Amino acid sequence: MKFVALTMNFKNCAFRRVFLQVSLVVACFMYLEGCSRGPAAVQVPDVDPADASQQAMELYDTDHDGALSDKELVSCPGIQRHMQLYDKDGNGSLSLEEVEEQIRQLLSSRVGVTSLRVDVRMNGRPLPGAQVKIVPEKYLGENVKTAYGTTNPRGTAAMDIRDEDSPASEHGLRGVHYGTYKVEVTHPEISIPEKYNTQTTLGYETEKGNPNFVVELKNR
Amino acid sequence: MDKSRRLQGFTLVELLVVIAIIGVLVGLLLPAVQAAREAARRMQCVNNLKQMGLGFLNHESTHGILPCSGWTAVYLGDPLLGTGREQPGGWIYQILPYVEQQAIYDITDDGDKLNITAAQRQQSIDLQGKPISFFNCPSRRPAQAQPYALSNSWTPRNGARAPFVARSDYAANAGDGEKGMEFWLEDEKKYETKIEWLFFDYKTLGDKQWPPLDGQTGVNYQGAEIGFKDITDGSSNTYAVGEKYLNPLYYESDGTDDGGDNHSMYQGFDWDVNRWTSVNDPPLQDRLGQESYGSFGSAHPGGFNMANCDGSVQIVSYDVDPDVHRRASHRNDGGGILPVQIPITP
Repeated sequence: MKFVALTMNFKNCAFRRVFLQVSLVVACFMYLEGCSRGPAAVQVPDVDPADASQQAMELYDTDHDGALSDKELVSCPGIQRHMQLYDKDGNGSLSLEEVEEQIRQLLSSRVGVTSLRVDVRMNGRPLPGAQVKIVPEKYLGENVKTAYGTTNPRGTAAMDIRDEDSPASEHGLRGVHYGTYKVEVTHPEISIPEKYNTQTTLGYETEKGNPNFVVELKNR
Repeated sequence: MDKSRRLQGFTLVELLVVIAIIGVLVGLLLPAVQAAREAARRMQCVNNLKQMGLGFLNHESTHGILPCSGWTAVYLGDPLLGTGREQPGGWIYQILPYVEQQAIYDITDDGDKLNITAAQRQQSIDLQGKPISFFNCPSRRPAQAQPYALSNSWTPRNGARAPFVARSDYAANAGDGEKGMEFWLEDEKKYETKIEWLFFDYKTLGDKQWPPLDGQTGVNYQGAEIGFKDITDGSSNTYAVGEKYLNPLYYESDGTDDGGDNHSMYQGFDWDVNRWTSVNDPPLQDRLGQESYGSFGSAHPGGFNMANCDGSVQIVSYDVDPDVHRRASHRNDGGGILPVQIPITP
């Protein structure tokens, strides 16, 4: 009887707000406790495969036949390197669906950053001090960022995204986004042919299970 | 007035005050309870590593060398090939007899040393799916076989494709190589993994060309038979085994998404069972969305556990100086510094 009276009063009661606030505080404590395991997740760059493949076609399908031929892909070396992966039906050219499918697979792991080491070799010898830059293909959108690295005495560069391109919680993480890239190599002292930097013919696409990549340069 | 009020039972204010007090108490207590539970799990993890450290030492006492790394990712342990670098199974397989798991060690015994028989292939399915409790960290995942969905090109050459495989949370120290599994070839001045190192023939093993001993710097890598005489930095200053980094998204997976955690733990030299310490592979705390095949690391807050070659286990902070961490993995660089140990507090 008394309990019934209490519940009936509760709706209009002045303490209702206090009660709600207290429960809110308790809920917050429990929620925070649940989240306290491990550091914050690394942001996964948002890329829409349908949109990206559409854009790739617009960029590289220069003869407008609805497919990317080997010849057209010379200007997209990242895809060309992995032609076998993209060309599911093996007809030697890529349709919109094939490009979309491969971009979808490439990004399916939902990984924000992955480590990448690039070896730069000039005429078969390691090239120390070279500046390596991997620039994401434009069709992937602005969320996939450019990564940089400088080779050490053994010619190996650990690639990294600049702090200004990543959120504060991800500063200091060494790695790159999943994606398809153009590779540019410059050197402060040695002149490197244009085909390796401003007019680059070097491409790279992230591979699951392989964080290493070798760039072979020749200047004679 | 007083009397009639008492008869009515609790007022709403009293009820709310009690709830508020309970709320604050729970809020204060829960983190403490969770921290104590995590501390207990971490101690169990230390214990697991102690077992492995003792396994390494017992192996050394019996054979004069630490367990070797086995061949490559596509080979499983075979008890008939003995110890040393000619054993295809990795360090986990090789220490089994020294951690009281002789029965699992003997599963692939088909009685025929030089041939890969149908019986051996069948037995290998059983072997690959055998989890062992102390090869998994309790803060991370239970010791259970997990599904295996990699392409057939990864099927063990001396076994058969298994539907389920057991994976380990621990990896042996292969050194400070900047490119992980690739060996540094001083003559050719490059990092490489040659195709003839990847594939083996049981019958011509005696003439096998192994990767160069100085191509890696740790204590456990393909082709290396390391004894205490080779660890000139001192066994108590050099890592043997530690926890490996994983992306929490793939603690339990079919292996297709994480190249550092896909095959069975009884395999040979690979990212799955060996890790590195160069600046390219810094120690990391498990973090959603971050991928690294080469790093040590763990799910514990604050630090990860490492066993040294003398069997001692220490907790190393994630903020360890990169060079100190790197040198602790190098067996003969003259560096005898160990990372500063952080005290174990609940």
